[in-house]
Amino acid sequence: MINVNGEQVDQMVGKTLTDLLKVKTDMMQNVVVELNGEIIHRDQLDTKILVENDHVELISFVGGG
Amino acid sequence: MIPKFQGVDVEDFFMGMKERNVAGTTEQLQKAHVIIAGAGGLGSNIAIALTRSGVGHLTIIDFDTIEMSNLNRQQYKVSQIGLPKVTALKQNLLEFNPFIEIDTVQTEITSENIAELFADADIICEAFDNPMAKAMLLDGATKHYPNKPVVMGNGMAGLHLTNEIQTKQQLPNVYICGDGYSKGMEGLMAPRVMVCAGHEANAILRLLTNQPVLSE
Repeated sequence: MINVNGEQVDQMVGKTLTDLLKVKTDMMQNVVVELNGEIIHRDQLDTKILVENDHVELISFVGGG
Repeated sequence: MIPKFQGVDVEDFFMGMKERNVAGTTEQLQKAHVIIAGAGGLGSNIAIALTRSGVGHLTIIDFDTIEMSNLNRQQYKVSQIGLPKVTALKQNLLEFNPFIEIDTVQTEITSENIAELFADADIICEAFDNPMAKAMLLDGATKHYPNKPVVMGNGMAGLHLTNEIQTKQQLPNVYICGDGYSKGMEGLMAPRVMVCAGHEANAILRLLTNQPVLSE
């Protein structure tokens, strides 16, 4: 199990952050990923593998300003 | 620094500012350099607040020119339609406070130029309208400058409840202001954009005067 924005999510351990983003959002370009309190930059999302008890925050931006 | 502007002396101007600014803050703010990414509804209002407060050095970055549809919430005038936003904003700001340094850059911020554009910032202020640009800026700013505070806006559209707009600390150096949900499809109106700009500007002033942005 991993935790994504406060929600328990299964079947993602061993997958990459890009895999998680594909499941969780259709607006990947609007999202910044935080893993265990640190931002994972875009060039690392394909290679960062999720492990048990990881805590992911997806910071989603909306338009307007 | 020019000693006089339209007959007003720099010493007298700052004496007037210090009569109303919170005691002891003006000197701290004069030394600061804030770089604002975007000069639309958020950026123009944030820049006015920081200028009036006496932040000594602002850099404003925006690629756009002023259109009619900007005037319902952005701090420009009918006479400025068609001008680059950075040019018009600098003109307006210098009328509020002619004794600060204002640099303008008319360019689009990308992941390629972000490192260079923000190298000299004490604080990075995000004021875009485009959500992809907001995400790109957070990604790039924290990658190149993990120790620089980043203050952002996220969700201030429509006529939703005022009090839904809040300042949150996302990470030790990242503050995000807004309601987090309103996307702009419902329209953008001056008051909530100004409320969010006020949140961002006050977060910046608290950081520059060594005060915690949020109660601990």
